[in-house]
Amino acid sequence: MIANGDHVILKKDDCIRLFQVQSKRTIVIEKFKFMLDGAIGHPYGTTFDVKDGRLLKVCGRAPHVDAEGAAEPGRDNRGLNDVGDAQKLSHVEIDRLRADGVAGGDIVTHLVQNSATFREKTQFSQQKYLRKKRAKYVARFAVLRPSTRILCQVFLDRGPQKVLNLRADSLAQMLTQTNIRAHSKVIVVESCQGLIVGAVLERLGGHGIVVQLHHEDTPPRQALDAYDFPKEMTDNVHLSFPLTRLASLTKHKNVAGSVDDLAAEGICKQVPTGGAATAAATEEDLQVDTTATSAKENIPEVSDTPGETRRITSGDTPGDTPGETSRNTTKDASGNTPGDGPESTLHLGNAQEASEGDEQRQTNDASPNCASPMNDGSAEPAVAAETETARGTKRALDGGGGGGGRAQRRAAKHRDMDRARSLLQRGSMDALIVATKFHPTNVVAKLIEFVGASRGVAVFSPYQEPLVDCFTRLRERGGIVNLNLTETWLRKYQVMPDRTHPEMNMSGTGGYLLTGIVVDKEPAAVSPS
Amino acid sequence: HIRVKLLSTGSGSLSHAILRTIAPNGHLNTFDFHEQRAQKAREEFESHGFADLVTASHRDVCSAGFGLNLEVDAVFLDLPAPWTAIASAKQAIKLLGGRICSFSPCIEQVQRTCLALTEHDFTEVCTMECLLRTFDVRRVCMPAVLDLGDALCEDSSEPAPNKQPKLSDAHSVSSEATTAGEDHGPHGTPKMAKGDIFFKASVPPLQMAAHTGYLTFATLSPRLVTD
Repeated sequence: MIANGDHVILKKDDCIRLFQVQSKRTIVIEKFKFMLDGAIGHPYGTTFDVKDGRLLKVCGRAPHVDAEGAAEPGRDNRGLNDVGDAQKLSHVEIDRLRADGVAGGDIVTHLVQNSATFREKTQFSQQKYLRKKRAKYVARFAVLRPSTRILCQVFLDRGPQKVLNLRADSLAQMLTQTNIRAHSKVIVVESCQGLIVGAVLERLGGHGIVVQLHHEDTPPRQALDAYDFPKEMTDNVHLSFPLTRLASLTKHKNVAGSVDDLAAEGICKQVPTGGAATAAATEEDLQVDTTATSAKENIPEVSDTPGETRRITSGDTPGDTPGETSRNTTKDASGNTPGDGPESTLHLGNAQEASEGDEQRQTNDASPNCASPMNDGSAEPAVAAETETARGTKRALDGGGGGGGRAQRRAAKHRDMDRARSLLQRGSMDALIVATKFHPTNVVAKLIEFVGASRGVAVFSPYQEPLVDCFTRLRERGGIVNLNLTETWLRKYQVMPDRTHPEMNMSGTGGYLLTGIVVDKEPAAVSPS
Repeated sequence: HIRVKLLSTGSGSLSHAILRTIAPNGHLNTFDFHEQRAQKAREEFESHGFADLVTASHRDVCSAGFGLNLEVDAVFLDLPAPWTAIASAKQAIKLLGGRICSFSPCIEQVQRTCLALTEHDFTEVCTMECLLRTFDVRRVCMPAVLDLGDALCEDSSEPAPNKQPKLSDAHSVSSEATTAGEDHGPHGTPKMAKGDIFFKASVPPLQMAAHTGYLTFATLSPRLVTD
């Protein structure tokens, strides 16, 4: 349900914009001024009319334009002269109609009645006219929940340089080539307002880790903020690490360890209950003592969930998913049922998330895993006080390590860095994704050291040349196979009876992608199993 | 907790991609009217450890319906006649709404499907095609024309002939390299003549895949039971 403080997307035909719901605050979109309060409490995806500066839910279906048109349309346009005087109403009169609050649909009717040429147009032409006028005058917006697909569209539409011209299908390729899924441990370097971090977090669904390596102190995160991920989830799953500290990391040899090994090395805690030994075949919950997070430990914690398949082989370190509450894992235990307990589903926004499901073109994936399986009501005591109010309030407290205070924030930041450091040093990250405004070559060459064998790398650039350079360097370095330099070509179609054709304009570029799979450079030493 | 419905199962490759994405909390219902394919897919899901996440059924959904009622978030159709499955798809999708995608090779199929989608109150109907283009990254060497007849010009202020053409990004071979007396350049490339220009290029292939199918996406908005 739409709540105060949520980030939302307003969509009307091709106009699509990101806003934050703030009660009593007026927004302006396409010359319409109104408050978003009327949307609060309704499910995401609802359509609203703008009336008197407020939003009113639309009841019933929108008319099908194709069913309309004058009774006897013209045959062709031979008698029509385009001199711009067909419409009898002047701009002033039309504006007065708008100012008087006349409904958009009625304005369109007025325009049709006052058009000297409408009746002579062909039926197709009349429908096109109606569609065009409705798009301009009817103030009907859908309020959508931000998801990767929609955010891609918004940013590409309104600020493509902010996301390096990253188009949704290119992003989809990156997620697929690196096989991002729950429990993945991912390195991300990006200059896309956090859009890629958000997309990865959306896929991880709270299980796994994103280590974001950044250049500046606080990388801009306009896109990441729009996802409204719960803070408990991002605190545990999203770690930051400065690029300037990379050289100080010494990579251990790839150690394929079981949970026992990891515990022995002090990287993670052994489970207090459930007693599962290896990460591989266990079907039991590994309950993690969540209250011990951060406060005491600076090491990643381990949990595993039922339904984890043999795809996670014994060679894998299990995804680090600290902070899972017992309530969440209980839900996981029954996770294979629809899991649609009404409160929790709606509260988590699962269904709404799905209604904006992500399309992965190349793989034809359907909806991604929900962004926030974490129950907002889950409690670390410090956070509980914040979570009872709207998500917006939580977002306002973002950056506080559970309660504000600069020292606490700094301590949290250092804990994150320590966690990221020990994770990276194991050298077995599952994926590397780079989409940075900086030249990628030396960043990729350095970071590939931390990626495990058989794992994917995806480097995005709006330009081909840096990727050619990166390709060359990686070839020389070795240790990477299936190097592919690609782009995706995307064209949309207008599909209407007797009027189907590709659209007149199309995207000229979605950027370029360099992908590959990391392999061992040297033959592996015989390891004790 | 995402629930997806996929028709038809076929080889199961798309099913696996979806399962990879919705694990560990989602569920996939997939159907195929071909009994052996449905069975093979079931066995593969099992052996790949996905048994809990997927229900693979042998069923002709176009005549028999999906048997799913208001419970999925997304529907994916890869059928010869997807427009016949739209009504059932709508019934299967939750009241809070969902997304649908249909994949068809022929534009006629797309047209019928889009019509059916609109008739069943789906919105944001959007059809597109998406092709992957690969580039071959290789070092290219182009000989340069050095003698443009400058020597024949009478103007003595012209610089000496055999001046090497300058390109910003490329390198040209100087005379020193050729007098080194090697038959081949590095990596076994043919001997570079003086003035040859080499550079790294990313070259598209001569032939590429032009079409597999059209993808049509649409949204089903939240609705009341009575709609």
